[in-house]
Amino acid sequence: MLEGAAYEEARDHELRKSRIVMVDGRVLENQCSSENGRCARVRIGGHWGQAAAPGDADRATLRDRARGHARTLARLGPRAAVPLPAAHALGQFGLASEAGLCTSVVLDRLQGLTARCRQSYPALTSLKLMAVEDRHVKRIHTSFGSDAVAILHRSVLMVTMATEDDEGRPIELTERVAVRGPLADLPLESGLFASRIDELHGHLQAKRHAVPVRAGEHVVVLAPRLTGILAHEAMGHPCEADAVRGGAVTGSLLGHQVASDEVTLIDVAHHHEGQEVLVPVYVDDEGVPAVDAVLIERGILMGYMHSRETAADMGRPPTGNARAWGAADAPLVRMRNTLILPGTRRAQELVDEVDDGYWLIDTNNGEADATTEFMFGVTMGYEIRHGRLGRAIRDTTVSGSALKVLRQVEGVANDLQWHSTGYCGKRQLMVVSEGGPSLRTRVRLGGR
Amino acid sequence: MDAGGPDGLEAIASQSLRQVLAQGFEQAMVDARTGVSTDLGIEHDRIAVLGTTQTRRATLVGIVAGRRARIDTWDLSHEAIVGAASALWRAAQVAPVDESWFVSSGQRATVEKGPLDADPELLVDRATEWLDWAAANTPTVRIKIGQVSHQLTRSCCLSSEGSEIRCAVGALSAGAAFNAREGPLTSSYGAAGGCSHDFVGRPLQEHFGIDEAMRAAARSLQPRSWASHGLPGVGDVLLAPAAAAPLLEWLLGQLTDERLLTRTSLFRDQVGQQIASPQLSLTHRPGAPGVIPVSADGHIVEPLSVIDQGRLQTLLPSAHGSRKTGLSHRPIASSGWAVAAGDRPWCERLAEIEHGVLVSRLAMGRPAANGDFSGVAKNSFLIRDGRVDGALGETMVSGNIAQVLGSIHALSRERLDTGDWLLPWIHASNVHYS
Repeated sequence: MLEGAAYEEARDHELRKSRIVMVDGRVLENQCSSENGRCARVRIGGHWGQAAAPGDADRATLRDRARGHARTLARLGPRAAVPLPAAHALGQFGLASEAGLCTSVVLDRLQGLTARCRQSYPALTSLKLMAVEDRHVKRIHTSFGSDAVAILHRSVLMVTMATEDDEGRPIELTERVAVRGPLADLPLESGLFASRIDELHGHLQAKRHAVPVRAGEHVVVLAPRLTGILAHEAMGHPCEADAVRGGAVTGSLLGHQVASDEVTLIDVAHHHEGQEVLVPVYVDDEGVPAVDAVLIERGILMGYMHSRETAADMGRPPTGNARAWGAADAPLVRMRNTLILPGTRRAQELVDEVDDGYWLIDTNNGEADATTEFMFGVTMGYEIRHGRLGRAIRDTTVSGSALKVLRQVEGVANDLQWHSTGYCGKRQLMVVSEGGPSLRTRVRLGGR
Repeated sequence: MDAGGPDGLEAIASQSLRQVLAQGFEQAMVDARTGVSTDLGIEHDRIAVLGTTQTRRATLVGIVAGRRARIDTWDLSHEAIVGAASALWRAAQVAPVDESWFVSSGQRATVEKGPLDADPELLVDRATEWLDWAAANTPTVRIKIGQVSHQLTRSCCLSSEGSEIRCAVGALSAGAAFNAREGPLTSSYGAAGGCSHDFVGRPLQEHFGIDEAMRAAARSLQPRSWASHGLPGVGDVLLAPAAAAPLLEWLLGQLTDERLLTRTSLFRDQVGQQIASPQLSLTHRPGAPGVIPVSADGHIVEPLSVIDQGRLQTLLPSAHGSRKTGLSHRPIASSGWAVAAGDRPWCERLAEIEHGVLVSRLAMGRPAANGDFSGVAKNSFLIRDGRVDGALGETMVSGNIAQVLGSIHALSRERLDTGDWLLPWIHASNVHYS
């Protein structure tokens, strides 16, 4: 029996993963795993209880255990609890394809790619390929009437080339490609992929002679992958409503100018411009229909991403951003497909107009802060001198205040690209994607 | 079959091994394990959720004619294991031949350590004391997210070559991410946490440097940049344990399979040579809290000296990596490392620094293969003329990890034990600031 203002949620969650690692044609890892779990979450009087167990556990037992945990916390005293919004979703959402795991086809394709790279780039120290596939199937029931199945399926290939620099020290670069669906759908035979691999090798050769970055603040042109991570780290995390409740400075900036009016930032739920995005979320793990969250519109901070609870606390509608990585994980406010909308300039123009700066191309990770100070690692870039590309630069770190960096945006190109090759790591892993065009602004760079 | 207790786990592992071998594999290994965790979640300075999680998993590995496959499955029923063994056989048939594969042989041990039973009331009491302490002693600091937990992992690993390893490892853990706020001022996020065998004898916040990290956040509300102090761009650094750990993890990465097999390790040919300052001694401690003393490929892990007074003692390839490279096999656990302490307290070390930074935490990209790194110093402090001289913000720290490890002047007498790492404060030089 539900108690007053209570909420209950049950999630059956199957996660199948496949991972193949090949170095110079030798398979170092070829493994498949399946996890199937069941999670019950209960909110009574503002206190949450949760119980998770393998997928054959009895649902009623788990629910009762979760209720017991919530009541245990009740001994700490009553807690003000705003009723949760009662949004609900019905139906099946997402790809229904089966995971194409552990297939010889994938191994053959990776062997073929290795052979082609070995033939084209014989001087590499090593070539590492890592193929990873995740497939989530979640069945979500809530006391607000949600009864939904959500399927999310992503595959990624990472190609890492290594060689030595002028001083005989190891250097490496990685290219990544992602698809919705199984590993077998990766376009390894396409001409576009071949040209990306060739470009990667070209950058690696340039990096052999790379120079340290001059430390300090510089004009930079961010390539689309960097703009994507800027969107995610710089203003995406500070616009997660749990971060706002936790004191992120965005909490006092709603309705204020936080970026150049060339910047519009959206967390896309499932479609953009009529196309399904790389990580389509139609219903979140609290059974809430997912909608786009417009975070910044023409430079003005418009809103945040919400779970049921943060939406209730802030008096806003939920956006469908509550997501859980594994069966035992509680849904947290997470991004889905974070996008800075493209502008009208050509990327080359943004470079041509720089007298002294850097073109930053690739990144390996990033981090956000409550202060809106963000950082991300840069693994590939070039100097810009008098509008022309110069020497490659060594690995560096970008940092800055998101507000300052986004206010200093002085050009947004029309070359939108989407990327989804890693995981966001806020307490739990999460599959996300980022989209953005080339963009020019000022940031701090670490160096000599 | 009930996998909850040690007998059930043993039966599942044994039955699974038989099923895998019945497929025709020449060698096989099975690792069956269960986990139970009790987690008390803290959000925004309040205990928000109590949860329990039960997990189970079996890992099946089979090798036939040099072809190897591995499958992990959550379903430990007889029918599911038969199905998994059959899928394993199919996966192995399409795997490329590599004669270096083999399973662990003759490894026998029974390990039981840490608290095996959870006490939710104890977790609530400890968390409540911590929150009360924080409200009284660091009132400007807000715990964004935190957790106090008990975990128990039971495992049984059997191989066709006679390995039998049984483990029951319990641990208590606590951790949090927090920042200070006062009016319009906000500090950077700080974080601290770790694993212990008990929470007895001292308050929870005195474990894992939680109290110091929260105090550092409270002192970081009005930071100034390094550049604003007009100091030279190169100086000394006093790395707190949380800032030193990622640099040492880069070093460990240089010694293990990925770097060795891709021939991108700086230290591949440096065994027996000086690769760091004579002040640095690094050991593996598989007995640390929360650490399961078994390698991922089913070998019992013993304590091991990796760097002794700056001299590299050994590389750390897995069994397969060893066969591929010809290097000696050194089994290691997934965590559990220690750096030897120095002989003086860190505040005395600080007094010897003319200008530099006390780095509490580094937010940085993954260090490059060649050791180049740069990151942002978080909740960190300027050191000038031997004393702490205010909080730093917007300050980048750059250098090369190999060079930093070579420039270590001294280590502190105090060490912080998080289970994963037992680390002193590290005083080094030749770090670039901007």
